Amino acid sequence: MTIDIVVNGDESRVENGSTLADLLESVNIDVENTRGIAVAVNDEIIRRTDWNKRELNAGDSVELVTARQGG
Amino acid sequence: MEQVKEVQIPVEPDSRGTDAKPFGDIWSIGSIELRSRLLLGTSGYPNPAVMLESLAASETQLVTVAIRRVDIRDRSDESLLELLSRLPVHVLPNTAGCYTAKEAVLVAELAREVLETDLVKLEVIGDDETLLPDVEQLLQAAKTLIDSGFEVLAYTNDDPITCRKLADLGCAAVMPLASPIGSGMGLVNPYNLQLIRDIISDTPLVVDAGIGTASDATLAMELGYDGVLINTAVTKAKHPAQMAAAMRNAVQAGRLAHLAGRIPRRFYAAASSPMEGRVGQ
Repeated sequence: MTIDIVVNGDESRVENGSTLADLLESVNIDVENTRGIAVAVNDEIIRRTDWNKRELNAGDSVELVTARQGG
Repeated sequence: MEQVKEVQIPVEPDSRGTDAKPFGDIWSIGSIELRSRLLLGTSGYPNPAVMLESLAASETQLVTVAIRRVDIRDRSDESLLELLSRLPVHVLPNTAGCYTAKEAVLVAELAREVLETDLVKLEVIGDDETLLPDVEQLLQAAKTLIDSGFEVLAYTNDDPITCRKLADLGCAAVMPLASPIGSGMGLVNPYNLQLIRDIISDTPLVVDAGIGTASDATLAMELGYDGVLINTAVTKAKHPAQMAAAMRNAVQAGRLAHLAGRIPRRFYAAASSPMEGRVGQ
């Protein structure tokens, strides 16, 4: 069974019971070693240490961000 | 005339503060200490090599970055932080593109996670055309972030009262604009910028946005500003690294002139050569 979520504005589908860490791994983000990435779910920051605890629910909106060139 | 034999010629020019970077002229923003007074953006360079060359030429110690969504399909553009780690610079995330205090606070919190820093350049803009700050939202966001332990560098209008309010809230630096972002119009209201400096002596002031060329940066420093933040004037110059070096020198020249103290302006001439002993008198 899958649930619908939104990742960086795009509709996406994950297995029911997936954690944030599962989602990140599925888009090739190394949960253990990656630096320079932050995550918010429904406008709430999820700290790195909680990535494998936070279960995703249907309708969640996930933002994955990093640093880009800026002024 | 002074007796020449009484004049001490310093062995090291530095000891008289004539070096381009006066010894001990260190300032701080929040918890970081800086020797360079030039802050640079990283956006719009033709390629990463030119960016690194320019940042090195500028001798900046503080560079800004934006916080943006990860491109899940193409993550090749995520090397910025790795590139910047090769330079002796602190990285300052911004909240560019935010229109409300709520958005800016969220982006600042994400930035803190991304970069593991409490520093944030707070931008809350009012519209797309002018990119001028929305003061109401800016003040609200600044208060929330300062209460959450952020060290806020607030980009703002050149309005003395707003600047005073931001300083009173406890901003780590207040950064009035010279003119709109990317306009290259220079200091369109130096009178206001001078007023702001006159009424705020307890908080670092940085002129942010609108610098077009080196003389603009010098003028800002001559007004007594602690630093200048520049992006487009360098990145869109025909030769960015050359302009970065020009800005480095311009900021240093303006700083030295400020410390040295300019002469007062006067309406009439004042002869610099002595009047007595003129030929034929």
